[in-house]
Amino acid sequence: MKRVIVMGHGGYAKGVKDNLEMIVGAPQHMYFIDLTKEDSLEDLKDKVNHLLLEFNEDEVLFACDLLGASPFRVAAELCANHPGQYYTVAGLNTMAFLELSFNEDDLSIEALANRAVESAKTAVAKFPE
Amino acid sequence: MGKTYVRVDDRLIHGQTIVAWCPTLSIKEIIAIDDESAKNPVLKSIMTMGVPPTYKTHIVTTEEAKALLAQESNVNRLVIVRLPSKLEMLTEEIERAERIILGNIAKRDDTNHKINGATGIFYLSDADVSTIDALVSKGAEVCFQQLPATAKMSWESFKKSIK
Repeated sequence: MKRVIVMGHGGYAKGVKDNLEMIVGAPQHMYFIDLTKEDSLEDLKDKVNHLLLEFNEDEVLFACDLLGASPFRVAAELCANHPGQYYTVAGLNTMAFLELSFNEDDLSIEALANRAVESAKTAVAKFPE
Repeated sequence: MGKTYVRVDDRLIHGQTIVAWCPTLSIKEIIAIDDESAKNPVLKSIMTMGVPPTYKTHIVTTEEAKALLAQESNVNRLVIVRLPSKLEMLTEEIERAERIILGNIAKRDDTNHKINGATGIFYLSDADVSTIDALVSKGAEVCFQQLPATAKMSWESFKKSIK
């Protein structure tokens, strides 16, 4: 089973969760972790590691709010230690999250990460063109 | 000649530093000091992924930082350390720094001071306080400030508050 962990600063993850719930309902394979103002990086790492313990050897995609920021770094470090099993993407939007909310087991975790990044890019638009 | 600013931040290089502090202080070069990260190429590359290429970025050991800081620079530099204790090893190099800005210093086992006068998370131990006192007595300007736009508290007013 593939899991998706959404991580970000100050209510980002909760916001994505509420957003998805309203549009498609709560996805069972998606998890939401926020870095609060009071949290140290160690607190964030503890929250993530606690969750990962439940997943055994499952593949995980981390979706973080901001490239290079603390949640991203925590996720990227885990990916470096679990090559092929964990991937991290950053800066996704609702379109990409909606796609991730449909659990597709025929895609590899890497393909899922690639598609999320591409979907986020193509979902950005302006009007009038 | 460029100015040198010092940031104490347990997250080392992260969003607030790049988005807020670097533009405010007109920083062109970042010297982040962390012996563990400096020796680990993976950690190094993760940490620099979010830094725009317009900044010259070094993630170095204390020794390498000393060598870098010994050279004069034409641009403004930001020296970042994780914890106040590291400042002691760099006394000579940072004595003439423009300002030492304390931010994101999370609670540790020995931190008995929680600073409330500014917006942000600042915990210091007695040893941290004496390290910073020593720098202040040599003329360093030290303050608590999370972000350029949030309330700032001077070292002097913190000292008054604990008396």
